[in-house]
Amino acid sequence: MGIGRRKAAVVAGVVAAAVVATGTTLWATDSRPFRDSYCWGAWEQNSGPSFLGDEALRKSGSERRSTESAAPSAARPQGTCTVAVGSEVEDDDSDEPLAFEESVTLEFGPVPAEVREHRDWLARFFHGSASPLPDGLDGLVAGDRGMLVLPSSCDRDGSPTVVTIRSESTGDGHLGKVAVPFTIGTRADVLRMLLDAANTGMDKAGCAPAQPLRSSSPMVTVAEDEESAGSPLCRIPGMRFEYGDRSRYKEQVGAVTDRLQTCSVVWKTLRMPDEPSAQYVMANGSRLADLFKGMPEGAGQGLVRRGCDGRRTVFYGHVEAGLQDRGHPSDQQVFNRFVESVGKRIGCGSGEGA
Amino acid sequence: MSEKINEEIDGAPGGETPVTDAEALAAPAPAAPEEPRPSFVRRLLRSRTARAATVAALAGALVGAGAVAWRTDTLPLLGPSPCWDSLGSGSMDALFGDRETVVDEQSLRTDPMGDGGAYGQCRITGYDGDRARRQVTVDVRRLDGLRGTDAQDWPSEFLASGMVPLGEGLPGMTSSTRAWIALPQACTGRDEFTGPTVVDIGMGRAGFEVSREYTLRDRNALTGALIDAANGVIEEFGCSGRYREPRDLPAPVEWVETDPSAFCGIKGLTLPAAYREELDETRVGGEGGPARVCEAGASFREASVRLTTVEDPALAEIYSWDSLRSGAPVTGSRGYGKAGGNRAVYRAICQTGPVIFVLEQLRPAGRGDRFTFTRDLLPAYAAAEAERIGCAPQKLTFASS
Repeated sequence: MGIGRRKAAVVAGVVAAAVVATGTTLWATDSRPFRDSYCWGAWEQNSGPSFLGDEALRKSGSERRSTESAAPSAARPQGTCTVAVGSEVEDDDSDEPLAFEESVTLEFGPVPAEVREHRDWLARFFHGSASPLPDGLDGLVAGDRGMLVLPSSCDRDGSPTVVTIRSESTGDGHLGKVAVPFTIGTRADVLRMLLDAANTGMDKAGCAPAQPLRSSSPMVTVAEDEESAGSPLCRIPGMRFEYGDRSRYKEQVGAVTDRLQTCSVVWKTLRMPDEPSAQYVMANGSRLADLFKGMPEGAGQGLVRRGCDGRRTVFYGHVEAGLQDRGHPSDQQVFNRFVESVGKRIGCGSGEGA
Repeated sequence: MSEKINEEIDGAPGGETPVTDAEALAAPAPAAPEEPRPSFVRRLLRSRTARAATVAALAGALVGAGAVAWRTDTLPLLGPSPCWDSLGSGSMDALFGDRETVVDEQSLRTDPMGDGGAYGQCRITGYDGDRARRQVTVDVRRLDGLRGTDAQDWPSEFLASGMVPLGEGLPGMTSSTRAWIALPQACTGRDEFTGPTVVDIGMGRAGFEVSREYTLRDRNALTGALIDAANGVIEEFGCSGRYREPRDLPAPVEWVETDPSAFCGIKGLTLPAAYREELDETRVGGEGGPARVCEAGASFREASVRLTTVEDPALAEIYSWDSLRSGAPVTGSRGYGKAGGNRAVYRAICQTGPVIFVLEQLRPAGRGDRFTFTRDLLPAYAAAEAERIGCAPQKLTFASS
């Protein structure tokens, strides 16, 4: 029928136009499915933190790239992914331009098995600049790093699976390659990236809880400023080190709650990333205590377990090469003071306990 | 009326048979057989399908407009909730039932003449007819951490022994007459010599209590309103996150008989014999929260002395001036302080940061009605409390006078 065919043509035309218009609008506004996404779809362009937004690309010659391993799976619940923004700026002092690269690395999987790497990992993610997560989530977050322990449904061989985010930033020019401080976003931004990555990873690994992990409460406390490492260290009576002349040691006291206490010491050098020098952690009753599994135990090794206020509690202390054997009267005595003093504060029995 | 509109619509665009109102009224039965064929519009209006379609379209448009209004927060008639659009109907009902309420609300802003101290106040009065029956005041303020102007009045109301911690990570305390919560530091920042920015709420005389039943009811109502107000302020300040209302508050704090060998429930703290008769009842509030407050007095539940340990490092800042200026010097192994006639303040650095120990004598007590309590108890109190919170030893000495 002539009329019917014309009608059909009109309808088809209208539909086609609508599709084109919708598509154009979505594309122009960077909406799905045209928006870039990274790390197995966990993060999307313009989804919150400035690092993922268009602002990060305003500098000349900027581009955002991402590389990712195979997504976590039930067979292998591990994965790593990096999103990097590179840019170039002309250098007045040189013919070569200055090249900057800011990157965020996401890791999904167990904590490192090797002791050396495990210690570095603990120093990074229990750093004093990081604040404990609200809403019963087990983890910490700062502007440049974040760590979240996944629910026990994701445990592997009795050890927890963890999602971490860390940032790195370098400038490369006539001064050589130098480290530049780089903040991914606010703590709330980084927490959101952490939760998005955790939920996506758990979906892929098939261990997602019935309800996705989420957080709605605000960050009640933020980290205080770092200060010159002093005596007593970490505000704990009896913790003392000989820092030597021209000390560039800085201490940062982090969380001091019934459930978690952190304190880090770093060696600061201009244009270099901070070098971890000492790290003290108390984790009480939460899954954070599970992150110390596999480390050598004992007071001499800087890892003891106690039963405090009816909960399993881990005390950890480690001193790196630069500060080693400079504890007063000994590194082990310094650690013992940490265990004793913090234990008293949170109500641990004096005995070995559970 | 609809008839008339129909006629007008019909008349104008159709242009065939202009019909005036008068004619229409004069000829109530227009469908005479001789008449010309009715206009297109008229036919349309008579078509049931067309009418149904029109009604549907109108309904759709209303729904659409409503949805837009809702999405853009421009729904008519529903004004903002009291106190910066924060107090929900649940909170208002719990506080005022179905009474008429009047809201006086200031916009939140810093004092242009000051150091960014003031933010604003909101007052709600519930009326029974013409008579005001209940008044609730919400204040948003940054407590002074530099000049000590918030070191006395604010704590006397908001750090009293009847307060219990909100718990669950919430930085505040509550009771049946006063409650407060600090805004998240992620929103306000964290600085030295600055107290926390707090939202506090008050109803009636501070510390007034009738019965446990009323205390529980009023405390729950006040706590709910406080959390609502704080969330409204967080949003007003453009910050993210919402506090959750605490589920299990500690039981209301009770007065108990004083134990002179563990005064204020502190192991190893002995109450000197001279005060035992007059300080025979004690009440300890705030355990495990931002501040632990112990009050003791004779019967009649009026505190003669108050001993406070402020563990929250931001809140401790409100006493920074007092610990430097408010009396004769007190030196300590890991801190410093001042002792005056009826008040002594000592500041120590502990694991959590600065911790403040405050002793106040509010009424005469002891031999000859003297004001000696703070000086007599400060060293022992600070040492015992420091032991409890893991920053012992604290050995205090008064400057020789």
